[in-house]
Amino acid sequence: MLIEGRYDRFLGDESRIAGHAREIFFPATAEEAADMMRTMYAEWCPYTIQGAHTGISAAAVPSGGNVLNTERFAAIGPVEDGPAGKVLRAACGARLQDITQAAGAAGLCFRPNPTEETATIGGMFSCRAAGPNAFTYGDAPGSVQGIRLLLPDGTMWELERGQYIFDNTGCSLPGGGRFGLPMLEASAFRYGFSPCAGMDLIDLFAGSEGMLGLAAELTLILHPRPPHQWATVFFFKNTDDAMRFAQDALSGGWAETLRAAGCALTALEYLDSATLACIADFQPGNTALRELPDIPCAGGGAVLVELEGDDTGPMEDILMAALESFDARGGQEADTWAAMGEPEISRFRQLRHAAPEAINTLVDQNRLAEPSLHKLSVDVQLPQGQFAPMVAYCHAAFAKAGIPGAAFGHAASGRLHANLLPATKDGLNAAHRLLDALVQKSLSLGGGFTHENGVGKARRELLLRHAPREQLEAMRQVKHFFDPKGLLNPENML
Amino acid sequence: MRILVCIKQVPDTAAIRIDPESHTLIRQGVPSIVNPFDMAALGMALQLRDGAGGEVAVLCMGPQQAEQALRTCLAYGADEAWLACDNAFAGSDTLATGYILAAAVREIERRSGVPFDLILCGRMSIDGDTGQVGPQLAERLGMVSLTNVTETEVAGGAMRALRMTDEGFARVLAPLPALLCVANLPGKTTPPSLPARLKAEKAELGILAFADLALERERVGLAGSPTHVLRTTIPTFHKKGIVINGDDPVEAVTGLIGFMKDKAKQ
Repeated sequence: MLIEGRYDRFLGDESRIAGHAREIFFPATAEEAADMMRTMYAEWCPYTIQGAHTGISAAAVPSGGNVLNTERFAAIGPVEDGPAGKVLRAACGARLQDITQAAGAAGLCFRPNPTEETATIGGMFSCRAAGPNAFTYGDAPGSVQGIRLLLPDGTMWELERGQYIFDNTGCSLPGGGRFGLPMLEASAFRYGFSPCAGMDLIDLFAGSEGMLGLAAELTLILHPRPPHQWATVFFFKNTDDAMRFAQDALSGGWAETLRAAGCALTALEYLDSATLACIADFQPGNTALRELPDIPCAGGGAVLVELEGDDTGPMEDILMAALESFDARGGQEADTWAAMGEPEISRFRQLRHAAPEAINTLVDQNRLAEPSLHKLSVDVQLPQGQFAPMVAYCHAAFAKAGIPGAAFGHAASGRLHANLLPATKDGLNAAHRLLDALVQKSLSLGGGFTHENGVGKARRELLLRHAPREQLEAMRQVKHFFDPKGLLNPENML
Repeated sequence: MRILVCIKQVPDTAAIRIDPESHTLIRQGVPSIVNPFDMAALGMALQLRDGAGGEVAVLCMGPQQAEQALRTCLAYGADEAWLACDNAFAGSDTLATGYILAAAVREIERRSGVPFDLILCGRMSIDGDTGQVGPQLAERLGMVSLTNVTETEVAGGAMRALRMTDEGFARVLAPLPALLCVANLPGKTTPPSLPARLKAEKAELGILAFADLALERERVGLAGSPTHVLRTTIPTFHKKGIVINGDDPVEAVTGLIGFMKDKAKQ
């Protein structure tokens, strides 16, 4: 179908970057998708694979050619026994909220919990979506047992985890072939789809942003739902106190203590004061936040702590430790919000999810006056102990550059989302330079950049400028091997 | 002032799904919450207490898991919590529930030595939707009952309330003790603080079993329930009309306008 008017909404995503394409296709089965891919590949027609357009890196924004959208390819199979527990098979267009419900009906849960519940499982796999509990449970691909992969020419592979593993010279492939490539030495950060020895072939395609093929169906690993889930939001008067509190959680071994007791620390989220202010502005028009009182614009931001487990005793002990740390930082009882159980905690997760949504709304408002503006952010990943210095650097850099900014992220795993919110064209140009500075700072702290939201088109220049040369070259070789014509999701990453 | 709020633990109906084949509710995996109308009643009770002084107790009839609903109410500020829990109560309809709750109220009053001045209930539960338990309870306790209350204040030993009616609103004055069925849903609610939550987790709940209450066995549970839920389904609606398909929106709208014009002529 031609994209003209009726399907214009498929030309963009949450990055607010607009693309262009000629036709759009909506396969409902793997066979239909394979057929469409085979035809377009044979005709040398570039195409962009899309999920639910919830990405912020413009990976799903088409740059010409056609669009293959998976929203109608959303079947979810029954819960079944897998090699190591319960699994369910979902088509790539199935949304996280529907997978959560299907698993919940069987008393189970799909662990990865990126806050965007309307994201598709295929999209989550493609950008290595993670979320607040990745510190404990890993990212989305880590909970994928197997995939039905469609290569760019429509060839179908069934891959099970553990079946095809990279060694020092490459990896055997289904059908008897082999992908040969000298493996790079282990690196602190692996960008894009650069392979390394010991890596599962499934993980080569995870995070590849549709550039190597389509993970059409995914077998997802499920876990029993924990009987007890608790969460608390702590509001701080200054950033130093918030950072010291987060550091207390890590140096105090809360996660290790809980793990030893069969429980888990499933979130240690930080929202800075600018993020809270954005959410406060966003709140009146957002039904998901309507049950919460007005968001306090705490000068130091907020930290959200989530725990879960079978035994509330250890969970209580950790929350008492949290209270002690909070008291020591001048925190008052009234500056805590506590929730127990899924329905109550969902309100806090809505608060957390409101962070990117509120920022996107502010970008939209700014675009009314200056249409060239778009979402501008970078995801940095810091080693233990460097989260607070990076937050401090961000705040100082925002102020020095005179560009409004907001930072929030996952303190437990050192992953920070730094958002720049210029309101003018000059500000946008300055913000691009500031993004570079933020990446360089992360690198200087021993960290990396790009995680969980992918690279796409929005962060492509950052990747090309700052990723290790050898990894970029490895990615080019991988891309050429699987997509020699270079037709899939053009202009993502490379 | 001594206030009692009757609460019920219900499935979170926002999380309930429909079985596409049987059109019945899928309750498995659905989390439980305090009935939202009861939370609004609790909020009203806490406001009255904070204004006029006194205590707020909460009472729930349910299985052991309903303890969590009571602890939630304690975390939000209730002073004491009671659970009427016994296998004998299982399967009780609204008549039997009202009977059991009335006995529980009398027992709580006996133990505390102080009668309740005011009992608040939610307008109805979001799973049963009957709205019957509150008025039945008032009848058994010999109290005035006011339904669909949206505002209330205590003045000089009497209760002023604003009630929703089919015609609008009515201001009423009622003597105490009285039972109010609160029509509001909770609005913006500040979540309990962490210390309040932790304290509520450790609080001692009053447990009232069948043996603790002056009850006749044949009037509780299934035996005491003249009504039974046979099946819960989603109603199917049959609409008359036409479906306009097509990829061209202009053509589709033109067709729709034509259809509506024809209908208007008939």
